[in-house]
Amino acid sequence: MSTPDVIPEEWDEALLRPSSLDDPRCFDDLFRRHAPPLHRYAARRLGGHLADDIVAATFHQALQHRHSYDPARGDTLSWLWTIATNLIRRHHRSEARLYRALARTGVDPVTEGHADLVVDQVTAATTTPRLAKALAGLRKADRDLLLLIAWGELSYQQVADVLGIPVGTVRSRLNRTRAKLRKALGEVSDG
Amino acid sequence: MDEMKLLRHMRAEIAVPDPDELAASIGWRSELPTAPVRSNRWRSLAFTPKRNRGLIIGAALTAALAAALVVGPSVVPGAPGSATSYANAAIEIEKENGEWVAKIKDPLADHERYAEGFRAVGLDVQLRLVPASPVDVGRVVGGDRSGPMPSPLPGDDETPSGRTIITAGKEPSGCQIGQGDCHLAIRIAEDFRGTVSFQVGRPAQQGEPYQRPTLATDSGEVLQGVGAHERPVAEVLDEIKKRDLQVVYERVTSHDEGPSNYATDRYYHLTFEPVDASEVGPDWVVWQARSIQDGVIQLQVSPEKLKPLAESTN
Repeated sequence: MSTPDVIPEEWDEALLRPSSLDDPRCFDDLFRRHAPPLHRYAARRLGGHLADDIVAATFHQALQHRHSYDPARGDTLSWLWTIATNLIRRHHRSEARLYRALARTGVDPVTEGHADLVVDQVTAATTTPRLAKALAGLRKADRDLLLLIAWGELSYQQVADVLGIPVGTVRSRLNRTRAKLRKALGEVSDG
Repeated sequence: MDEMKLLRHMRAEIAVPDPDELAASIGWRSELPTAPVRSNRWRSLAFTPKRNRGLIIGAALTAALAAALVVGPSVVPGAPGSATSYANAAIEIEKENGEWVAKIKDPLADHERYAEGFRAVGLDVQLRLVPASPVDVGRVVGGDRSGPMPSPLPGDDETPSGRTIITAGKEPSGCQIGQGDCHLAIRIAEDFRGTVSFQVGRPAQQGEPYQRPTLATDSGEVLQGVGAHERPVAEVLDEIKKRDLQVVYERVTSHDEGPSNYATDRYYHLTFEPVDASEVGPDWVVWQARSIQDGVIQLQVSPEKLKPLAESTN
């Protein structure tokens, strides 16, 4: 049995009080730290054009409602990603359409124009359309959870804060969703 | 085949944009719109951007933000906040290689003496030094929030947590407070403009409980190397007595549901309450042993093994 993780991880980065958000320079720092990874995440889900809108809207909403930031519900990262997640969810039909287009044609409308990825292209060519089909078929909430981890690179605790669910639920729902993906991918090799 | 790995490769060619380019492409501008409530004098002080980037502020917000900035002492030249170094009997602050270095001269001083120093150099920093276990001396042990810490769980990938703004430590590194020139030091990024409140561990005085108990079986602690988790109380008590430590108890209860607040390879929702030594049987089970003050161990115990949350078992 492993040792209990009884004491919160040491944290070196001191946390900001909500009142700091009244200082635009503080907001500027938030933008520099969080906007780039958020943009990449949104672009992977919806394409670069919509990602621009999502990031702009996220920071405008955050600024406008900055007094709603509650440190007890998570850090500033979770706060901003919660806003972005809700905005992305409004586009779930467009998102699913993009996955289905990829599944159907083998060409990803989201990455057209980007340099080729340095991975095993053969594997990618056979599995990515299946993966895309599986993503299109996931429940909205499961897709958010899976992609916050795989593409957003958030920790389970951050995902729990973003989605407002216990961290144990993150883990169990991720397991279920991964099983669905495995099944979808398994169908590739089985014929 | 690892589906998560495949998923991570999907669309991975989409890059993380440069923040300045992103700000430009989505119209996140550095200039703040002018508002009639502000005089030019204040704007020139408060709103001259250090770097050519920043925010669009909605008109309705401008007045409030302007007020917040105008009243801040740190933006008024000539007033407190403009000093480039500061010293009083408690703290000494100097700029060094692009960061503020605050050397603690008196770790038992009133925290207001530290705040005074930070204010003098233009920082809104509330530092409290709190009694801590020797391993926590010089570490940040708390902040002004009560929520969950964003701690990665076993199996998680490293998560980017942004730039480190504040660090604390003993200087010279690895020294013992009270010996030679050893002191606590706080380092703060030169361009930090926010407000922050945090706690750093200092050596505890005799009989003074630690602000944040530590796991007594961890490296560097008094029960280092002793297995306490899920062992009978009698066995762990032997180890404690061998080391001539005192012991107190806390009873742990596990619940079937609720947010998980503890984890091993399973998740638990636990609550704790003090319990008298006379009520604790030798065959009770130890959840963990904590150092709560110099020479005192707290055993967290339950009559039977604790039950994890149902959902974490699948």
